[in-house]
Amino acid sequence: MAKWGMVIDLEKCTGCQACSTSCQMENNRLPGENYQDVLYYTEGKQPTPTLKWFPRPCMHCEEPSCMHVCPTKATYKTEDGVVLIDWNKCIGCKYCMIACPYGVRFYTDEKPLIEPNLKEVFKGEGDLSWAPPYKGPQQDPTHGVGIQPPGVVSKCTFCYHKISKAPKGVPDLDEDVAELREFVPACVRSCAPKARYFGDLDNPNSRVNRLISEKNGTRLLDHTGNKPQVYYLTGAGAAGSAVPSSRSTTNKS
Amino acid sequence: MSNSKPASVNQVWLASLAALVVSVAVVGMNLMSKGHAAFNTTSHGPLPWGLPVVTYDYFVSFSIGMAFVAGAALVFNIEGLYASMKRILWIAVAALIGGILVLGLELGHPFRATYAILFNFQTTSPLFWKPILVFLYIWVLLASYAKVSKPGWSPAGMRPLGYALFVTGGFLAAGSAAVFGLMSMRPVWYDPMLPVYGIFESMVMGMAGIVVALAIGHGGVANAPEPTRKLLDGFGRHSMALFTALLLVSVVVRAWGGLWSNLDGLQVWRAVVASPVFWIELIALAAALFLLLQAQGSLLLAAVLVILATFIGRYEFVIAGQLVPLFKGSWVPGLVNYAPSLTEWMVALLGLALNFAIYTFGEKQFDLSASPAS
Ligand code: SF4
Ligand code: SF4
Repeated sequence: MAKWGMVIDLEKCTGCQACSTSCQMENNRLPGENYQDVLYYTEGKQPTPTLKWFPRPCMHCEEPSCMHVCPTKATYKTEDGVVLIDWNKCIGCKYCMIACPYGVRFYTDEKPLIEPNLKEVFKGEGDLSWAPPYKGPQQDPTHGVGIQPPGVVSKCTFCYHKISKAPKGVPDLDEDVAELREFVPACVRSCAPKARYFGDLDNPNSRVNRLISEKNGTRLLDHTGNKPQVYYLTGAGAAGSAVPSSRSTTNKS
Repeated sequence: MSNSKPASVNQVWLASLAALVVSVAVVGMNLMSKGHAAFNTTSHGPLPWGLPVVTYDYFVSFSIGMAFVAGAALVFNIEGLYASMKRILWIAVAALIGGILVLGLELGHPFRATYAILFNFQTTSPLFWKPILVFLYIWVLLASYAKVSKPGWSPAGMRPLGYALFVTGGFLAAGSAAVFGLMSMRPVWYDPMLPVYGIFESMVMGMAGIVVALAIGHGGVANAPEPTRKLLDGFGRHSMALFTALLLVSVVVRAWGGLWSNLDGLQVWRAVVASPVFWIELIALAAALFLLLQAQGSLLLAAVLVILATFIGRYEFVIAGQLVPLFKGSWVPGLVNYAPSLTEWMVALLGLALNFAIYTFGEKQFDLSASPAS
């Protein structure tokens, strides 16, 4: 069984947000609830501040704290290493949102980030929190795929509706391979500078594994013990350049 | 319905009914029309747990505190509290009901929660253990209440239940604190000793709660039965002073440590200390301590100040633990902005009003002063 993981090359990422946009389309997400965000921040002060960006999906952790705290087992890990939510079991306690060190979970029964509230414009019925004019064909609540029902939490699924249909045993899901293209997560497929790679972390011949070992793949907030299955390539190989290194709150001294 | 009840019971009963009507109307209208969008908690803010979680957590701790004091009285034979045992346990029941109702208004699927937690056995989650402990605690509490409701109940016969109150209350207080204290990704909360602190804080709340209840139930602490008054003037006052002093020290030390540390996440303490609410908490605790140390200092005022300070402390703790965003949304270096919405305040008021309504209903309908056989 594969253990799916992602590699993001920060030297190639231009911060264009094609990943965020394609994810929004694929998973019917609204502003403020993007499964895949590019975080912008500045480091340093005038006259030499630098604008930086950092793409951040769900890390599909090996030891997901979100799963360990979920009191109903609504959050679970599949055999192929993907962390998903069963919307039929979720009680909306939001403990997983508290426990995720990467802030990638969403409870969407909230004030909208922008007006008009599209959920009011395109009202959903029954178990659907809204009815967008374009909607992907899949609605699979037990895997947390499709339109989010009210009262539950959602997150990135690594496009489970795609990757779960991939042929068994392939080392990588590469959009450049025509017969695999349909199984590639939307953010990976749409990344113009090809900063994203998706493959089997348990397969020694996968490109993701080669990249991690050859280019010193690092993981975000590794000290939490969550062991992300998303790795960042930083060029220099230092974790400090991979992750936002300071919150630049005022210094004490 | 007894007519010999002090006016304070009727006044609190009427006030709580009025507060219930207003809060139910506002909460009902807003939650039905907007759902949880009526709360200021957001994913993109981001702050998942707001005032309703604070309130629920506080009420549960408060209930445990009452049960603890009752348990301690039974185990250590503190006779001065026997005449108030039924009242104390009844308030513990009321606070628990208020807390659970508030939780129900916060959860996305409260009815699903009643079975999904129990039947899925996620033993790694503190939120699996907490409801189980609540369940056990409710049984012990109700059994204890039923037993002290019988005229002429025997303190010796109650002792096993006193131990049970102590043990289930202790585990529940520790379990409630573990929900926060085990979260290593949230440095403001993370502390393996937090469960111990939770037990101790509950005890202070319990002592303060008993003083307020005696004041309402008897129309003033001075009108309480002789053994109770004696206890309150001596051992009760001194132990409450000691616990209040320890609480004051722990609030100061925690803020101090937070200000000193360079750990990412703890910078939130600078915002906490800059807030006037933090100073109100400190002043309230210091004033309560001052009153408790004077032989003639008002016990009721001290108790009210302790309740106010512990509520502020709980709010500060739960909210501050979430103010540093964890790589959420457009990740910014600053802190999250959060102030409860009107609906959230009304949810808190609803819980509080329900507590008082249930408590005063008990005062009016049952004889909460039922004493054991002497
Ligand atoms: S990144 Fe967060 S939501 Fe994703 S698996 Fe890890 S802990 Fe869970
Ligand atoms: S909100 Fe849902 S998925 Fe998250 S911890 Fe609670 S039950 Fe589990």
